[in-house]
Amino acid sequence: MAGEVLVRLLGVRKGFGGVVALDGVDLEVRRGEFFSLLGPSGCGKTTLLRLLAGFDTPDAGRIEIAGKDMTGVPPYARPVNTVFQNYALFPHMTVEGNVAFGLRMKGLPAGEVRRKVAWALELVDLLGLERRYPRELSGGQKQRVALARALVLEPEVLLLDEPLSALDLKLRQELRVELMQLQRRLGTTFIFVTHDQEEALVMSDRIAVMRSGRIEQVGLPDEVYERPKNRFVADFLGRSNFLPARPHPLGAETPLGPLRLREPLAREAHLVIRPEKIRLYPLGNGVPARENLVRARVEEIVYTGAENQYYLRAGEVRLLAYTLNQDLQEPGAEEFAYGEEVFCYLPPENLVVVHE
Amino acid sequence: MNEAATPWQRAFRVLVTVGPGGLWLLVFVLLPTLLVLLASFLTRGPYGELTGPWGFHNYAKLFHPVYLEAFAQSLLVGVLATSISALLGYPLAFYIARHPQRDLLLFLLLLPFLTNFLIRVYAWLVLLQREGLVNALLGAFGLGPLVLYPSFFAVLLATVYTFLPFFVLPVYASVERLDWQLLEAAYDLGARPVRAFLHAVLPQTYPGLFAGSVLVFIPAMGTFVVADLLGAGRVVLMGNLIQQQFGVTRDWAFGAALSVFLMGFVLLSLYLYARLQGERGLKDLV
Repeated sequence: MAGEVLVRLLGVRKGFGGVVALDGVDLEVRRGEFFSLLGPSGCGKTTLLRLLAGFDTPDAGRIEIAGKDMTGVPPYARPVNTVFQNYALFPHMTVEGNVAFGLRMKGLPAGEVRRKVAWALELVDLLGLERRYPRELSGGQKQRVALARALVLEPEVLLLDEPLSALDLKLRQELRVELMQLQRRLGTTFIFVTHDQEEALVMSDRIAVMRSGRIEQVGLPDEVYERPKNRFVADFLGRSNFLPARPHPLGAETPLGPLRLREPLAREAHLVIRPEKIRLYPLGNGVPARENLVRARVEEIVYTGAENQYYLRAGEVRLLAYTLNQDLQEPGAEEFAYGEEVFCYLPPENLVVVHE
Repeated sequence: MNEAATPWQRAFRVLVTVGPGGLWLLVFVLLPTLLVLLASFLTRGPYGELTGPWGFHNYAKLFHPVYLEAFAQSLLVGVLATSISALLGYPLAFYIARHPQRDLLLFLLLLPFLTNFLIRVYAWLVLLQREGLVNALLGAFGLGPLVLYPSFFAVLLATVYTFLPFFVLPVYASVERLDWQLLEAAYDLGARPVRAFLHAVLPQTYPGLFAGSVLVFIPAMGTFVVADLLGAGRVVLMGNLIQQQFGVTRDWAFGAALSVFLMGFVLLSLYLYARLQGERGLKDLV
């Protein structure tokens, strides 16, 4: 991950009629990375992509791609290509025409165009559909044409604007894997916009989590998930238990009583723990640890197939805990019933301190 | 339910559903056209009535230089009016479609139709005549006076004026449905603005262009009021000839032949134009 910086944003701002879409964004994307911009709708991630593509111009700040300042460089002269959310295929052109479009605009000779189109169509597994029109294709096929049309130009950076959001779940999961394989095979830098946290976690080398025009955290998927910088990131990526906490000699004073942390708390904060990090034990089998143990009652059980989700209550505090739905013969595998009292163990290494 | 229907029931259903429309077409389109076609093979009688003998003699007369010239003039008006309407109307349609007040602009576009067509043509006569407003303005700059009326120019001007909205409206309809993201996609793929427009935007407006051209070309070819008033006898179009035959000259047979010829020509050019558009154009035509 120590590649050269390919895309650099410095203090980029953009507003639309008084509404701030991007509020001073600094960002570096390295060559060959699969980089995701993740955030809820309206967080500015699509605006950022459009600035990179050159469809909009920043109000302030600088964008560099491959070492060149992109200020005043129109979209058709940038070393990037875009895969649009709703594909934006030319309806009056065949698959072949769509994929060849960019090459023809470059003025490449017919033979080379044909060779490259065939290469790109093979890449996305669409050989044989050259003569079809977009209206004769399925959603997944259109998506592949859009990919081929952009990749055939061998861009420095491929910009993808929620390319999978219009597809159904099964197809989305298949295409995720294909996109990742494609990116690895070509080594092209992908900047991928999504609001789907699972998609971002699964596919990315690095993720930038965005909120209201700002980047809240940039990091590896497990960094962003395991060590969220603030409450928003913890809340947006996956599910979390939040506990208000004050300094205490052991670590932190919480509504659940004192809890041990890796380092004692210096000031008021929130503790975050992921549901799958909470371990549950039956009351009868003796205490598994002396600290960070909370007695709670099972209020609701949600069976999702791979895991059981327990909604627990300890005094005034509600906790969410997941247990893997393993073979019950395995040691540590337990199932609990409605109303049953259990011990929840909150491991100190999994209690993450966040500030607002 | 359908399987149980007897042939009679099926015939009844067809009659009830297709019947009224079919009857309408029969009475108001098919019969009149057949009558005109029939008349074109007859001869003018001593009192202007239609009599025998039958024959193609009316069609033979068409090739007289006077009539050929009228045809050429009509064609010129049709082609020029359509081209000018396209040059003015195409950008206008974009302007209206992208304007925040487009409903108001559309209303203004259609506003002239609230005034009688004849009065509007007379208005042009007043504007363009020797002592008219245009010459007065030119005079203020020490120019003119120009003979703007009667002239071919005046006829063309008023024809474009009359039929321009018929070009703008269908183009507007296709511009409104336009997917502007295709323009961005074209830029993104390396097309400069002009080529992006030609490849991404223009093809999407073909149906509107086609409909607009047809809606201007057909009436412009056949109109006679404009040429009558603003050409004042100097510009004689097919429409004027036909009107004369059915009016002053009372040669209905020859008038019918002129009409059939014009109709045939327009249909043929429509067909060829649609062929030019490819398969889709033909479908739009039908």
